[in-house]
Amino acid sequence: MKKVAIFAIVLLMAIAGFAETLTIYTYSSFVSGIGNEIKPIFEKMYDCKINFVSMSSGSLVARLILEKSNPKADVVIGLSQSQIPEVLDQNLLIPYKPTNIASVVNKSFLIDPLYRVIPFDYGALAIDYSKSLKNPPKTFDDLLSSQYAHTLVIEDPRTSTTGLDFLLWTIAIYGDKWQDYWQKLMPTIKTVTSGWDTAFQMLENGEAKMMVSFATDEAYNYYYYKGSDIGVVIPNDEAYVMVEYAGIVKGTKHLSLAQKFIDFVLSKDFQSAVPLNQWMYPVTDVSLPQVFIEHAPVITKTVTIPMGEIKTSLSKWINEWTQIIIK
Amino acid sequence: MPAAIFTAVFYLLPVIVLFVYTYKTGTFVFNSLNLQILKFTSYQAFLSTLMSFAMGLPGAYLIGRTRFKFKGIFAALSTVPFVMPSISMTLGFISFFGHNGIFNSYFLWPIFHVRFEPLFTLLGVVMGNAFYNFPLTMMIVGSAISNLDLVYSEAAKIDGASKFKSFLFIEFPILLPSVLSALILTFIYCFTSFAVVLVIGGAQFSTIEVQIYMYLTTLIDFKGAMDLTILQVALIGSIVLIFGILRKSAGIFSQEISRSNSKFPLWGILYLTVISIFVFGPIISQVFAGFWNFRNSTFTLEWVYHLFSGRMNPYIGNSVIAAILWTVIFSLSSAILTVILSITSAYAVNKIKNAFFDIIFTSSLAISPVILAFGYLVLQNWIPLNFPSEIIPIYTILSFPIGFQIFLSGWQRFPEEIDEAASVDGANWFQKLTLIRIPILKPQIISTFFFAFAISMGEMSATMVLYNPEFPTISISAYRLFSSMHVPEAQALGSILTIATFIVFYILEKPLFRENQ
Repeated sequence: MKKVAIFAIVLLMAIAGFAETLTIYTYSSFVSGIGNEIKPIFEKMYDCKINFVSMSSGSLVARLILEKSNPKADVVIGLSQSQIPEVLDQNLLIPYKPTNIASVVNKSFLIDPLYRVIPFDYGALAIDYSKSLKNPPKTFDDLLSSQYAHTLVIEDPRTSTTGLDFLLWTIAIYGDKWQDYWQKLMPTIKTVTSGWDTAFQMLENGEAKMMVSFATDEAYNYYYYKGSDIGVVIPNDEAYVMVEYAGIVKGTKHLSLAQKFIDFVLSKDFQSAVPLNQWMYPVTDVSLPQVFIEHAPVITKTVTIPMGEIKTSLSKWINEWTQIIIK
Repeated sequence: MPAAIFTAVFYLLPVIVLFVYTYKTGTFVFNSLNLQILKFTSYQAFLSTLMSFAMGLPGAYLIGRTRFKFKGIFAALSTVPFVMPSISMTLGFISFFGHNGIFNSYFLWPIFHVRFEPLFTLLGVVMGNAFYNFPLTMMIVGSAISNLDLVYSEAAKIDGASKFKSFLFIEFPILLPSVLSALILTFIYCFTSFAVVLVIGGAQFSTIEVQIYMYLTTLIDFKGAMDLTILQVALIGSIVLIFGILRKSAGIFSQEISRSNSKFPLWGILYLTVISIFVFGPIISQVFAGFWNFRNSTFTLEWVYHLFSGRMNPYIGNSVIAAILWTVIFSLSSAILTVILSITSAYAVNKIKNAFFDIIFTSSLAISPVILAFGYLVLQNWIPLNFPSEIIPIYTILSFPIGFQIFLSGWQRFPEEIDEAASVDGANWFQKLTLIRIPILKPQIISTFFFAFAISMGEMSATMVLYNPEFPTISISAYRLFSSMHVPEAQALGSILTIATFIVFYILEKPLFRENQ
């Protein structure tokens, strides 16, 4: 019996040693949340290993570019839509049309006709407000009112994707007039933080009354704390939707496994894990958890900026924004 | 010249590679916006340097010259900000200086009915920078004062000079090399300040470093980042050059080692109180937060237990024990390497008196850690480097300029006669090293070790780019806990980091000033 056990262990180790390893680049909260959940499922399905390599979402694309001549990743997951133009331009990914692509409900998320980038979840920006705030704003114009002076914390678009998406949201709403809007928004802004987490801490400990954050924050609080001190509002009810993408890195040595992973991303196993881990919405029609139905706003109207326009104007917009903000 | 080779290989090479890689495409970045930001960067750095120096100088005197009860604790606490994760620092500042912070709610408002709200103002930025950098002046000038010979000032006293006069005309000129070293390092740190400015001031007060980060990550315009880096290196290089010339004209006073003490002055008590409130207030309130349950307002070890029970491992990507172990290994190795490299290179630079090396060695501070890390990524395409092997050189490069400056002033004031006398008596190279040089330069060795260790422990930006969770570090683990919304546990890890650093420094610091006790 003992011999059999030892043999089995040796055999297992040998299998583990020889199992194919898929290297996936992503951002850190992906690994600790949904990554933990889906990793064992996928590894068991295809008898392989997943090696997540995480970094700040900002350096994801930069790293792929710098490693272009000697790629180390097989798959990248967690690209935001504002990063897509650069990714496609640099030719970092290879095309693959997932077998289950038809399950993606909102076809407008399929932005690349060559299927180099595949959407896997989406969310919406919102203004989080402390419930101690008597009458929270309902529109972007409300935010300009003097009653909210010095209450809003935003993130810096130069260092934070949330901040960047907020800037793009205002541009989508106000078009050419966005700079006027920001000029008027200045008295409302308490400060500009470098990242989302600092802003969130300021809201939590009462230093700020409002911040730019995500539509699912209230649902998150209900799920973990059975109640919420913060509420969310999508001004004008016109949501800026952020779609996240995955793709296969050009130069992968595990092409077939990488393709299986992309298929897996649209599978029920993966998509059902999206809401309570990513706090984003799934892209296929898997059912939503109760807390989403009760406490997350329904996204009815959405606004976007065409990809081509982001590509040509992004650095100009950030420049102009900085001019308005800095003293 | 081992240091020259090390610098060339580990600092210049990645940067040059990235440079070559970059100059294929890109945009022109010397626009009016960047110039405006550059102007502000210099302005705030200037103010911050003044404030850091003003805050550090009395401390340097107290530490170097007098005896007081909490000297060790005071010196150890002041270097702690270097290692605290910047988000912990933010929370510390907010909970202490914020609108509803401890200082306002329990002190100013009830007593004077006013509020002091430095956050998100220029004053806040200057305070924040001073908060981080005043230890540079305190430690560098302090260790110079601690082996300042009192013969000169005694003589001045006999000639009827007042204490202040004798300080200004006798001691200050002798201390000038160390003062200049402290000033230049402080200026560079304030100039390239990233986290502090963003955290305390907000984006309204951005520095060139923020723009560099934007070009690298948000716009993925490497050329933009390199252009600004070159500008920054050129500026800082020329400032280093000016300081180098100043230092030479200051003259060199070599000296005997003295062991003398003065009485603890009355103003010292005031100074210690003020510093304790403004600097240690935010630190202590942060350490405290790691052991506090805010829901029931009770002391708790729950968060610490969560950390070590393995419950947080999925969020960290490894165990906390591993993070502590690897952080100590990385920091220890790079601190030792930094001491060896800076002691030898400062010796050599002092001998050959070539300002060029002075500039090269010090201006590596003007290269942002992210740029350095990206350079390594490009290098990885040709050289089989990976995470744990490349992080020690990176940490060393980041702390080397401090060590270099500290030893530069150390060697300048080194009493050559003793060295020569020993040679005449037949001492060999090794004997001279262990019996004369190391004992005399001990304060410098220990302060260099301090800073290198602290910088390595707290480093995040370069580490984040190259990170591999198989070799976790404490600061990245804390960051991950914060971003996965495990704030109390992240706070607890921050508290452990702070306490551990404090203890290590406290023990190490003992021998530093023991000579005069």
